[in-house]
Amino acid sequence: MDKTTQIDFASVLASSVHDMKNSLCLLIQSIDNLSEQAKALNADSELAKLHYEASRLNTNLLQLLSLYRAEKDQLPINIDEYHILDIAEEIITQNQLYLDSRKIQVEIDIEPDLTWYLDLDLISNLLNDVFINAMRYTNNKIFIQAALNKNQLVVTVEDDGSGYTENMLKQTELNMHEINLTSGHTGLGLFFAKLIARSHQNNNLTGQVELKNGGRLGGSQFILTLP
Amino acid sequence: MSNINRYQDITFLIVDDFAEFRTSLTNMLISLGANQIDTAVNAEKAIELYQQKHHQIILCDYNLGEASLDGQQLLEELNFRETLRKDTIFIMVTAENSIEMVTGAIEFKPDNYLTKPFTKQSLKTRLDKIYEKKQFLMPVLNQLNKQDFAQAIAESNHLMQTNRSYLASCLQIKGDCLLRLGQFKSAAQLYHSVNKQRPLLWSLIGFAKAQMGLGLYQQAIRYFEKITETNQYVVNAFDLQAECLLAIGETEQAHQILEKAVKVSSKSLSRERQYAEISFNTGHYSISVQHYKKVLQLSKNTLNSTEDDILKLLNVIAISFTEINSSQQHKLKNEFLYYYKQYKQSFKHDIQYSLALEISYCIYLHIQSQEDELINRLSSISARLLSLSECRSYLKEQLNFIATYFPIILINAPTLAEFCTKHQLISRQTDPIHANHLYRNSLEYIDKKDYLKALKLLISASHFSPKNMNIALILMTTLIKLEMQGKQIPNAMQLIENCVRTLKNIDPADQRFTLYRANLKLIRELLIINENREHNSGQNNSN
Repeated sequence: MDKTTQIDFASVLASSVHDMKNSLCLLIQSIDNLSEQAKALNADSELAKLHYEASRLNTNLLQLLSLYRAEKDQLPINIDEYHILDIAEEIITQNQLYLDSRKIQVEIDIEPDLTWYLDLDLISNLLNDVFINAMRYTNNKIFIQAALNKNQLVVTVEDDGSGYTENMLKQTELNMHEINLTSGHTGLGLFFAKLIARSHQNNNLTGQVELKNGGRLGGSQFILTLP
Repeated sequence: MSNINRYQDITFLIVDDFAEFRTSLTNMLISLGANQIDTAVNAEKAIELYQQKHHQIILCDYNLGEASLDGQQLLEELNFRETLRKDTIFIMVTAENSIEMVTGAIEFKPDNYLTKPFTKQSLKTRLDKIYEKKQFLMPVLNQLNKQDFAQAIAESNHLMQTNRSYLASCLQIKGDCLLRLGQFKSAAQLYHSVNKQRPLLWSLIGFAKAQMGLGLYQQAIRYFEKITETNQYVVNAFDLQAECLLAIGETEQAHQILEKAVKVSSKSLSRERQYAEISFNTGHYSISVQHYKKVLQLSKNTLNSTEDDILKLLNVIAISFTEINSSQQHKLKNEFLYYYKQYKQSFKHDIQYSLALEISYCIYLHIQSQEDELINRLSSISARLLSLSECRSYLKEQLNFIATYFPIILINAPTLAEFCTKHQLISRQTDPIHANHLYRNSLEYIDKKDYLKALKLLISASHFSPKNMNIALILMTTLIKLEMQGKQIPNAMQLIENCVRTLKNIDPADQRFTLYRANLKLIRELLIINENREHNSGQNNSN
């Protein structure tokens, strides 16, 4: 490509993602409004599905943009102090429609004054992706816990589904460059989670992601540790 | 008040260029109980509406279209005009906030970022949280509205003792107030204690700014580098790092840093101006031309004065003739004449400014080797200069420019050369390192309240580094303090004028702007006192 036709792909990608997010924002808000009217018609479960898929699209878009920026060494990290309970509650609020429609119970165990240092955008997006995954595979229970352990924040998202597949568990053991990114969203999601965790550093410690089965509800268990 | 009807009596302002979003957001707010909602399609309309009503909550989209300022610029503009009340809740709606959060002025952050997509419920949760926080901080915010920073610090201290949940916000406000009061040592202590626990963007920048105030530029540079290493979009850190580099005489490095900064964001007038000037000083003339043009473009429709920028643009166009080929010269020549004629026309009633413009034209004539016309012009300028009772600062600067860069022109104009010598318009030898050494010593005398000794050092410091903003600011503050005490300092007003010249383009987002502006107010008071004094002594004499 000669110089005059070269484009700054990061900005092009960012501006199209922003535009797509505008559409998604209006889409989700319309679905929300419709669902209030649709309860009487028993159509709310269909709408809940629409809402769920739109959220997934949004998460995917942001991950794509972040991954591209990371590849180009342009991923900005803004660490600040946040209340962890606020983040968890916001994720639940965003997915309330789907939770109600599938009658999923969510239990939270986070002290109201627990605060920690993180990039709000990136961590919210990561946890939202994990939560969406849990909603899809759970029977009817999700448990979110956060607490400090050895001066690191540990957030756990668990469900009572059938747990992660063997293949998925194996992938978490791998180094980032060995993760299979062509096997659908699972690989990409995991890669993203690891990347975001890794970009949180403090006192020579690096953020970690761990996938397990079992835990309190017997299904999948996602553990994020931030120094 | 219960949560249910909390928003009933609150005034809202929605700013978004998309009609669908305005409607959607309005409906959401109505369903939350709100019934006083205004909407604006762009920043201009938003400013107009806010000035009338001072809405309690503003929901503003970051992107407001090509023709408008963006959301961050709107927030800054409201702050600059001092119309934004500190108790107003400003929420920025963004598609993703990681970059938007840091490219604007760190001092003017919205109360919260709402990332798209959001639902009615998540909006309500967010609004409730911010509302409660603002209510808690209200005693501090009331003092900030009155610009009583010392009292705001006292109120923050009180709040921190009663409730720890908003500790970080209280500390952040307190640090900001200390910087505004010029209490750099206390500010450094506060930010250091936060950084020890966990270095955050605001505490790192705050600490580095306090170091700058103390004249510890190397230390400040290390912190700015730390910040931009993890986030290259924190463009404010680049600006300040460049200022530090200039303060220690590393002009070429400062140029490189600002080059990065303008690449990230070219929306800041003060950054563009700084970059244009440094590009000139480091001999990057065509870059300088380009960015002075950008300065003129950005200052359209603002209250910013561009008299100096116009002259500098003309001078740098003229100077860059020497380094380009003939086809480009033709283009530049047209450009020079275009700007010259345009401004000559707009300022035709301003004798001093017309003279200043003609000096640029003389440089042009000199470079074009139009010697006869040059000599005519020069003698006409000399005649008019001699008839002036006093010389405005930009005119002095123009003469200084000729004396420094084109002394050969003055050889052919002995009257003009004499005028320059008489008014000491000869370029001075700068020594920023020595200046900074003097500055740091002066701060020790200020700590001991020995203002006269401090003043002596500060005057020399400013002589060796006339463009250093910290030196100018503290010199100005010390001079005013002494004058207020009734001490008669020789040449005080001339010294103050020089300080104002150095500080007049300081970014209003910078905390130092507060002290500068407070000083300007005091100068006005001083002038009135002096006038009365003269008036009284005049009366006494006549008695």
